[in-house]
Amino acid sequence: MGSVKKGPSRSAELLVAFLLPRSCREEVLGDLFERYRSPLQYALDVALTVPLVIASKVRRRSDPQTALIEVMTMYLVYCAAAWYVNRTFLRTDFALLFLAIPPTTTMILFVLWDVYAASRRKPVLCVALGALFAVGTVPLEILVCGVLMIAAFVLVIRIMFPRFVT
Amino acid sequence: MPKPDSIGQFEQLVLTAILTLADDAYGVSIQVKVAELASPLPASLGSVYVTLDRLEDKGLVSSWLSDPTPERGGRAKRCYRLEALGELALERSAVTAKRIWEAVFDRLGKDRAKGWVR
Repeated sequence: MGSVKKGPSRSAELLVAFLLPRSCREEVLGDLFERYRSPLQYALDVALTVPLVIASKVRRRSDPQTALIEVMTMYLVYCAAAWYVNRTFLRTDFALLFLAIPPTTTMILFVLWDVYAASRRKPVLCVALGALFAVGTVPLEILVCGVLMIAAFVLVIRIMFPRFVT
Repeated sequence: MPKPDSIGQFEQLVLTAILTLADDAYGVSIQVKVAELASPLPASLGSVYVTLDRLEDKGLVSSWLSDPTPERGGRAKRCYRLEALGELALERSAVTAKRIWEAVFDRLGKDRAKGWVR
């Protein structure tokens, strides 16, 4: 009877499973298990392999042109929100730079959603979470108005073009 | 049949590994074979995964999940096979490599050229 191969600890595997995108989790975990020799070797293998796997999945699932259009659209919406609810903020130093924070962080969340989630339809919650990163640099009323405007825009797109994934 | 894009050296190594491994071409075995072919240059498992994804996107290889095995903690392997486009791309690379070798052989002479591959 063949002996069962010793592998990494359950907690180590759970951590790696959490980091890996769903689409490649099974085979990458299996490959890392097969190469297991010691905890240190496993940790080194994970450190050298998992970031490249994630980067590859990001490249596969992301479309740079669509991402650029999405981030520019969100940026214009936040600028419009600032114009309507707090025009004074636009006259402060670095206002336009601070307004770039929520669309940038939202785009990062969109990319992570595309890689890790089963559904391609991004929840509007990503937009709200992205806006949270700008709290303290952008007035709250601008962030709230921006999130609501983007949510309304996404809802209209989904109703008018149900096959269009946003 | 559409023409394959030109492929880089590492992609050639991965395609060669898949060809030689036949039914046993999966992440770990491909990495071992590529490391053997590329020696003394390193070939990490992560770079093999990145290249396999790129080759699959180009339509040069295809993949499927095999049955789980106890040696892998009860997890399945993702096995790869060459597609017709991949075979064509590898054939073209091999023809180019042969032309390069013949040109080097003609210019440097037999003894010096063979010293390169010792």
